[in-house]
This record gives sequence, structure tokens and C-alpha cells, in this order.
Amino acid sequence: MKLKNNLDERQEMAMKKIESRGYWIAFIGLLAVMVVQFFIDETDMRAMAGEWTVFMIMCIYTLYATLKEGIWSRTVEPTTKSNVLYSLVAGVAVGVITLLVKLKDFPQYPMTCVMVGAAGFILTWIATFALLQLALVSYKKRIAKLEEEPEDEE
Amino acid sequence: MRNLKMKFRRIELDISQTDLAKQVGVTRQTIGLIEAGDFNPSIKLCNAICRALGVTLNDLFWEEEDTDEAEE
Repeated sequence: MKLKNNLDERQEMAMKKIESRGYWIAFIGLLAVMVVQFFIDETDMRAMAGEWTVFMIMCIYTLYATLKEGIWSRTVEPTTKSNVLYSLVAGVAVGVITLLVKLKDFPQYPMTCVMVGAAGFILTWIATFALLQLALVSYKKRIAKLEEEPEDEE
Repeated sequence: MRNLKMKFRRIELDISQTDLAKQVGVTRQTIGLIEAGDFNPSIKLCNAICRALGVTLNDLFWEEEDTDEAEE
């Protein structure tokens, strides 16, 4: 059943902007909450299970919907070079957070903490890069299909 | 409603959807959706399409009232 839309065109556009901001507030908020929970107790995975599930649903839906529409990003070029850069950023973020959490828990073993942080950095970098490349291949296939010229019927 | 006026004008000029899309700076899919009536372009994009096809906004996007009524 389709509900009647009471908004005019301008209100509809304004509503879409509001919903978009709401999405990003939820996205950043959930990520921030998970990072804070990770700082408090990184072993208690059950505490952040709910946030993680909602966050992953948002990520998977966004990835699926944008790839289906043949959309990559407003500002980032769909290239391997940018994938290397952005996976590096993700790797550094995870590496630094892991290092800080480990230093908080085990200040007497700084070198071990650095090694664990470095492992977190490398694993995240590789995994993020692999996922981004996979998405890039899917995107290129999809955009090639969408941009195929249809035969003009008379 | 399908924009057949736009489609016929494009075919008349022997321009593909891809070429028109490049000229106005959008994707081919967007041109396809406008012609299919599944996407309402902004006035800015309508203007760019009209310029590329050498016609006015009236020629491509004006709908006669009786046509509207018949549609309804």
C-alpha cells in the first residue's frame, strides 16, 4: 500500500536532506559508540553486538544500493590508487586505536602493544583494500552494463 | 510519462544517448531515465539538453493540457 505524500517538491527535497543528515549522524554515532566501548573493555564483544549489527546492516545496504545504481562516490575516484589510500587510512585508524587500548591495559609491555597495533594496522589495511578492490570490480562491471546503449525502438 | 519528443529529436539528429549524456555532463542512464519518464530533470539539466538538441524548453518539455487530461 502506497501512502499519500503530503509534501510538495521543495519539502520532499528538504526531507531527503534531513534524512541524509540523520543517516550520517547515526553512522558516525554508532562508530563513535563502538570505539568508546572498545576503549572501555575490548573483550566484551556482547556489549557492542547491537551497535555492530545495525552498523553492518547500514554499511551492507549502502554498498549494495550504490553499486546497484552504479554510484561510487561524490568525491573519490574509482581507482586502485584511491583504494590504497583509503584502506591505508582505515589501517592507521585501527592500528592507533588498538595500540592505545593495549597500552591502557598493558602499560608494562609497550613493545608488545606496538606489535599488536602494527598487526591490527596491516590486517585492516589488507582486508579493507581487498574489499574495496572487490567493490571496484563490481562497480566497473555494473557501470559498463548501465552505460550500454539501448537500441532505439521506433 | 515518456518523453518521446526528446527521444525523437535525439534520433532525428542521429545522436546516441551516450553522446548526448557526454554533451550535457550526465550518465547515459540519466538520459535513458528522462526519456523513459522515470526521472524528472532540474530546469538546469532540461536547459542543457535543449541546447544540445538545438530546441527550446517548450519543444521538449511542454505538455499540452488535453494530453494531461487524457493521461489522467
